[in-house]
Amino acid sequence: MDPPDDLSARVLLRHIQDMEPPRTPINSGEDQAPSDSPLPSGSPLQHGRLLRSSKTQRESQFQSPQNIVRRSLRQKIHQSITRKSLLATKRRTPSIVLRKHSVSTLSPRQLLKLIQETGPVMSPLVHESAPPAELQPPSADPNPPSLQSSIELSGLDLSDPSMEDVSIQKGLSRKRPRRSLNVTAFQKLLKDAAKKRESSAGDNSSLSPSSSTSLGLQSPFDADGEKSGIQRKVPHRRRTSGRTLIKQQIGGPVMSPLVHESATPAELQPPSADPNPPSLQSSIELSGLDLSDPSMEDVSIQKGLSRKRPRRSLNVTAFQKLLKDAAKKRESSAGDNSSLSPSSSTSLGLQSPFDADAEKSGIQRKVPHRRRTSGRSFNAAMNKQQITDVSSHRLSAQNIAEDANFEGLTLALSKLSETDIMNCHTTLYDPQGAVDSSLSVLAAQDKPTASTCQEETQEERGEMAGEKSVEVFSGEDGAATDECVPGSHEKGKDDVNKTEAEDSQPNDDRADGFLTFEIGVRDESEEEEAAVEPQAEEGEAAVEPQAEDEGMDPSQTEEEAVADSQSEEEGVAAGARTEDEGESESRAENVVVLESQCDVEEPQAAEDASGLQTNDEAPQEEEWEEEELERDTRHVGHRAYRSEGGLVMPVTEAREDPTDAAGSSEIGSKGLGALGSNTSLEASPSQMGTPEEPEPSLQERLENEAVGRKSSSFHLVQVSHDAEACERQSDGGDAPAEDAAEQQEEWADDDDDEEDTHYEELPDKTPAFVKQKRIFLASNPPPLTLHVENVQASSSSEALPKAKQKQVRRKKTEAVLPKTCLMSVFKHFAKTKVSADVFPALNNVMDKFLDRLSLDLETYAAHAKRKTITVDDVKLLLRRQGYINDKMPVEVLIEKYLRMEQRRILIPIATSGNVVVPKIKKCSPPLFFFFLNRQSDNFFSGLHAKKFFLPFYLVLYCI
Amino acid sequence: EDVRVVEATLKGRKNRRVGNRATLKIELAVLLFLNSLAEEARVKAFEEKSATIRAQHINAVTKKMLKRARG
Repeated sequence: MDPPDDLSARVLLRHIQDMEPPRTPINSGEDQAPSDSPLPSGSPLQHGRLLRSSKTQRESQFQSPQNIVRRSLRQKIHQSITRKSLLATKRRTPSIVLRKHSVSTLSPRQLLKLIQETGPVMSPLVHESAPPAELQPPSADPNPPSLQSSIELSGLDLSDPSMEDVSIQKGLSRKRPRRSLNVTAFQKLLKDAAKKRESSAGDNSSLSPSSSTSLGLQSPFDADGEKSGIQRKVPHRRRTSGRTLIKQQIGGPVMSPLVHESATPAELQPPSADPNPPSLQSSIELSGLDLSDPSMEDVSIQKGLSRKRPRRSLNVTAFQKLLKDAAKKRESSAGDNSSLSPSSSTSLGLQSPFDADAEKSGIQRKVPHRRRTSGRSFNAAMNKQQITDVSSHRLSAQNIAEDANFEGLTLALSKLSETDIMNCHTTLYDPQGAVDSSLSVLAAQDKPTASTCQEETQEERGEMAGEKSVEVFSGEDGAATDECVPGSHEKGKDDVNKTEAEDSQPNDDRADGFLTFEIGVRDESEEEEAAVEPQAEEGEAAVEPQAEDEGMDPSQTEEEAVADSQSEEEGVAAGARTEDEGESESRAENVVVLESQCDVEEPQAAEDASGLQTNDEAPQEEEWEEEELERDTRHVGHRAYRSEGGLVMPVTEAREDPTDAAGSSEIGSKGLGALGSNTSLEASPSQMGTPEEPEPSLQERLENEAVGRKSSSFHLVQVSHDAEACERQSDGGDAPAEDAAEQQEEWADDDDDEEDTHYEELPDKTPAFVKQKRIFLASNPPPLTLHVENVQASSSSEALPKAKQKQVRRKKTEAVLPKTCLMSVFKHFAKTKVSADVFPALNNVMDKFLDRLSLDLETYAAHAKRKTITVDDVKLLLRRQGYINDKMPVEVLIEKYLRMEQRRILIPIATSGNVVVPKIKKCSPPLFFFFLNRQSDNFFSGLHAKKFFLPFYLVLYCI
Repeated sequence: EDVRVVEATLKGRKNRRVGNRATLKIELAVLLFLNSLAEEARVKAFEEKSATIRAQHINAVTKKMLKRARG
C-alpha cells in the first residue's frame, strides 16, 4: 500500500525522529505516555506508518477522497496488525501507534509542519486520519488507560492541526469542496466503525453509542440546514471577504470548523466505547480546548474577517456549550446513555459549517465565472483598441479627460457608503440588461422596444434588490478571483471597497467588450490621468486608486461616445466642453459621492450609442443615451410615460430630448448655426446632455444618502422636474419649441448670471429639444434661445456653487408637494420608521404620479368633451387604478381617508327635513330613489334590509 | 391645507379647470396612492430586514406603484 511517493515523507520523518530525543513522549508528560510508550515494536516503523497514512490521505485528497481514504485506512490497519495475530491485539496496536505518535506531541507538530511546508494539502487529512485510526481501538479495547490515552492523544493531535491550518491556509482554501467530501467520507468511516463495533464488541454500551452516532450524524443536517438557511447572508459575506483577503487569512477561519469537526468525531466514539467517566471528561475537555484554539485563531484573523466574527463565535460558543452540557450529563450519569447526547451535539457542531460552505459555493459560483469571462474579453478588447486607436483621437480624448477626472473624483467618493455597495451590485446585473437593450436596439431601432428593454433592465434591478446581498458577495468573489488582487492584500473595509470597485469594473468591461469601438483606448488613457489627479485631491479616494480608475471608466465611456460625436463636430464640442468643465468643477466642489448609478447608466448609454453608431442614425443613438440616463435617474415614471405617449417616434424623441438636455439653448443654437447637418446638431446636444445629466443622478443619490446636501440635490431634482413639465407642456401645446423657449425666457429673466447652474443646464439642453423638433417637425427655430444663450455665457462656472445654494431655496418652494405635508402623510401611512432621506425619492415619485394623474384626468375630461375636470373623472380614475371596485365604494374610501369637512362635501347626507346636504343636482326619479336608498342606509344605521324599506321609499317618493 | 396644496400643484400641471369637489377627490387619489406606496415600501423594507423605510425601498417599489397607478 505504500506508494513510491512516501519515500520523501518517510525520510523526513526519520530525520526528525533521529534528531529528537527518543523520550519526547515523556517530556510532553501530559498524561498517558509512560504506560504505552515502552512498546518496543519500533517507533520508527510506526512513525513511518503514520506518515504513510498521511501520505495516502494526501493522495486521496488529490483523487477521490472517500474511497481512497477508506481503503487506505483499513489496509494500513491491517498491515500494522499483521505482526500480532489476535484481533484484540490488532486493534490495540493502532491505538498504540497513535499513542506514540500523539504522545510525542512536539515531534508530530514539527513533522506536520515540515509536511505542510512540502505539501500544504496534507493538513485537512491529518485531522481526519487521527480520529478514524482511533475509531477502532476504543471499541476493541475495554482498557481504560489505553482509551484515555488515545482520546487525549486525539485531542492533542486535533489541536495541533488547528495550528497548522493557520499556516497552511493557502492550500486548504482551495480544497473546501473536497473537504466536505472528506467529511462525508469520514462520517461513513465512522458509521462503518460503529457497525463493526456493534458486531465485534459485545458491550451493550457500544450499541447505544453507535446508534447515537448515526443519529447525530443525520439529525444535525436538519438543524444545519435551518441554520444555513437563516444565516446565509453572513456566510456569503464571510466568503467574499475571505477571498478578497489574503488566501491565507481565508484559510484560517475556514479551517476552524474542520478542527471542530475533527475534535468532535474523535470524541464521538470514545464516549460510546468507554463508560469511564474520567476518560470522557478528559476528552471533552480536550475538545473544549481545541475549540477554544480555533477561536483564538479567529481572533488573530479578525482584521479582515471582522464581519464573519459573530457567526463563527456563535458556532463555537454554542458548540462549546453543547460539549459542556454533554460533559455535565456524563458526569452525572457517567453511563452509557449519556453518550448519546454528547455524540449528537458533537455531530451538530460538525456539519453546520460544511453545509453552509457547500451552499455558499453552489450559490456563488455562477456569477464569478460570468464575470471572469467578461473581464477577460474586456481586457482583450481593450488591448486591441488601444493598439489601433490610441493615436487617432488623442486630442478629443485629452479634452474629455478633464471632465472625466472630475467625474472620477465624484465617483470614487461614493464608494465609502454601504448604499453605494448596493448600487454597485445592482449595476452588475444592469450591464446584462443593458446589453440586451443594446442588442434589441440594434435589431429594432424603434423607441418602444428600447423602452421596454430598459424597463426590463430596471425590473431586473428591482428583482435583484432582494437578492442584492448574495449577488454582491458573488460579484465580489468573482472580481477577486478574476483579477487575483492578492498583490494589494488590504484587509477589511479596504478589501470591500476594492471588491466593489472591481464589481463596477466588470460591468464596464462588459459594456466595453460589446462595444468594438474606439472608446476603450481613450478610456484607459483617461483613466490613468484621472487616477492620478483624484488621488492627490482626495485622501479617501487615494486609498482606493483602483476604485477610482474603475469608477472613471463609465464616465469615460460616456465621454468617449461623446468624443466620437466630437470628432465630427469639434467646433461645437469646444464650447460644450468648456461648459461641461465648469459643471464638472461644480461637481467636484459638491463632492458628489455617488457614481454607482452613473456607472450603470453610463455603460448602458455607451453601449446603446455604440450599437447605434454602426447604423447611420447617430443622432438617435445619442438621444438614446440621454434617454437612458434620464430613465436611470427617474426610473419608472418616465418610461411608462414614454411608452404610453411615445407611439410616434419623432414626437417622443423630441419630448425626451428636452427632458434630458433640459434646455441648453446655447449649444443648440451653436450647433444649428455652425453645423447644418442633422447628425452634427443632434450630436452636439447629446454631448452636452451626457455630461450634465450625471449630475442630477449623482445629486439624487446624495440625497438618498442624506449627506446633508439634500437641498442642493433636491433643487436639481426639481429642476429636472421643471424641465419635464416644460417639455410636457410643450408637447401638449401646439408649438412645443415655442413653449420651451418661452419658459426659458422666463427663467432667464428670473435668473441673473450668478443665480443658477440649473438654469444653465436647462437652456443647454433645450437646444437639443429644439433641434430635434426642427429636424423632425421642421418647426420654427428659436430666436429666444439665443437670448438665453447670452445669459448662460455670462454665467461662469465659478459662480455655479453659490448660485446653487441660492436656487435651492427658491426651488424648494416649487417642490412637488411641501416636504412637511408629504412626509407627515407618508409617515402616517407607513406606520414604521421612515428615514429622512426618503423625501427626494418620494418627491420624485409624487412628481411622476401627479404628472400622470393630471394627464389622465385631462384625458378623461377631454374625452367627455368637458373643459373641467369633475368628480366623475376622478372617480373613473380611481376605478381604473383599482382603488374602487365592486367591493369598495368611493364613499368608504372617502370616509376612510378624508377629513370630516371634506367628507361632508363629497358625500351627500340627508339631514332633518329630508334635505340632502350637498345638493344632488340631477335628480331624476330613479336617481333620487337611489340616493334615498343609500342615505336611508345611513340614516337607519345598521339596518341593511333594503327590502324592508322599499315600500317606505316608495311612499316617500309618491309623496 | 392638503387640499390647497393639491390644488396648487394641480393648477401648475393642468390646462383644464378642476371642479371644486374634484380637487377633494384628487386629494383622495393622492392619499390612496401614498398609502399604497407606503405599504409597499414598508413591505419591501421588511423584506430587507430593515425596520425603517429608506429611499432605496421606495425606489424599488416605485415602478410597480406607478404602473398600478396608470389610469
